Amino acid sequence: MNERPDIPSLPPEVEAHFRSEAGGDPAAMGEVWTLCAAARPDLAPDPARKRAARAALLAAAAPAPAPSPLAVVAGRLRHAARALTATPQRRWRAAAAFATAALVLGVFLALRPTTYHAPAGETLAVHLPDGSTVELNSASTLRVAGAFSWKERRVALEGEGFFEVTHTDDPFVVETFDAETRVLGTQFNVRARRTDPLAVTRVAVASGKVGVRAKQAPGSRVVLTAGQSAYITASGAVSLPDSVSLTQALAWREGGLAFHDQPLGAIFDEIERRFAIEIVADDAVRARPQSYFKHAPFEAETVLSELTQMSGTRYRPIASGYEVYVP
Amino acid sequence: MQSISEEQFRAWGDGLRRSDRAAYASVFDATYDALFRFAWYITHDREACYDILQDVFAKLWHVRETIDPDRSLKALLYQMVRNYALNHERRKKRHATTSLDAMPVEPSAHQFVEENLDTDALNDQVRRWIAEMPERRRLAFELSRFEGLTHEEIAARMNLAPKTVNNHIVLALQHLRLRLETYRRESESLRT
Repeated sequence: MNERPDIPSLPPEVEAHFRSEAGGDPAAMGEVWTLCAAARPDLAPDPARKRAARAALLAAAAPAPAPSPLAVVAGRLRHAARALTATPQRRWRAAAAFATAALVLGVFLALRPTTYHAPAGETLAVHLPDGSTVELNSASTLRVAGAFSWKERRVALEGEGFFEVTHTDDPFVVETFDAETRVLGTQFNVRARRTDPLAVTRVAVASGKVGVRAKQAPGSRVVLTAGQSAYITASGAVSLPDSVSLTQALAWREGGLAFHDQPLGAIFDEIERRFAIEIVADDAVRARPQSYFKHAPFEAETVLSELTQMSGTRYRPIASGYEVYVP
Repeated sequence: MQSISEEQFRAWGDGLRRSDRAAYASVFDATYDALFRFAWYITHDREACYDILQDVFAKLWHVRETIDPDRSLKALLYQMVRNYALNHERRKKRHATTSLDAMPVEPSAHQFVEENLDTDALNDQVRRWIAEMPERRRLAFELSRFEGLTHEEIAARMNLAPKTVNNHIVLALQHLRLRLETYRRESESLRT
């Protein structure tokens, strides 16, 4: 698998492009392609470091099956092993960097929130200082307070994210425009897109227990367990827990689409965010209810072609994306 | 990594879910080099790649019980490397905005003139021309040119549509050709 044979000529799709393009010059492009062979980087990892990495990882992979307190110990071991495999030079550099960072950034960053943004067309994994991770869906923003782990761990979400929260004694709070979701350690999805047809916060729980509180009605709160979801109702209170299909609620993490009886507009919005394109359609089209499921990967056009066939509409490309209309 | 079948990855995934360390070691041995190269194409920083892969494999063990059997383990590994590498890039940008290393190298006419007689120098130039491209375009091009991946494979690795991959590579080649033409003109004018 380490064999990387040199590819002597242009990939067929690229060749076809230059052949069909006015003024395209496939021969000249082929020459550029060939010329790049010499610029190919040597990317073999250092065998000694690879061996050290392997040993450290396997040592940390404790044979106990349950990732209970043992997993925490394993994590510690891993860090210790990594520190030992570092060269003295790297250790010194790390220490110096740490001292400077502690002085300058400590004061500076403690007062400033950090913002993570997944732009349209991309998703983003955020690793928080307490070991928790957040997977941000396209066109979503997570703000983490400077004093993140002081008394409680608080983040603010606009858009959609899947949270894997490490258990500590401090609660972890996800603030959205109309709700607060409070947990200790668990896995759950929060969706708070103001552009949704029903623009409210929805929480779906994959494991553990999650408390959801409405901002407008602070007394209104529910506790969700694995496989349950709740949302903020029109009156601003929290709905009763309802069972939820996690495969559907979390389809976005795999790059898939899962819509059960939703307005077409909601599906269009999702495609716009995923592919960073625009889909133009009038309100009557956007309001049509539709169910649609698709596994990744796929192209925007495939989805549009299938959706328009199912809903009896048509589509055509425009400069910024596609237009969907009734024939 | 192309030669490893999805069945093999599925078997390793089953092993990981059972906390089988031998499966974990096999995944490491079979994928480390390819993932290392992939991380390098994103970061262009060897030192960072060691850290990124360490984090990815540690995380893989950490989440082993929740690995989705219906999802390709290979795809999961690439996704993890991509996420960690992009996080690394972001951190680097945030903390090193004043670092000289982070400044784009703008090749001057002098450089062309001084170096034009040497083939090694031309190769250095090509490397520089590749490095100066926007990140995603460069990544798509490098995966195609140096890894020999098909458009579909690149699309899956980068979470893009194959058409977008083609656009990236076309733009990359047009950029390189423009640079090469300028380079040759400069060399020519020196000789006459």
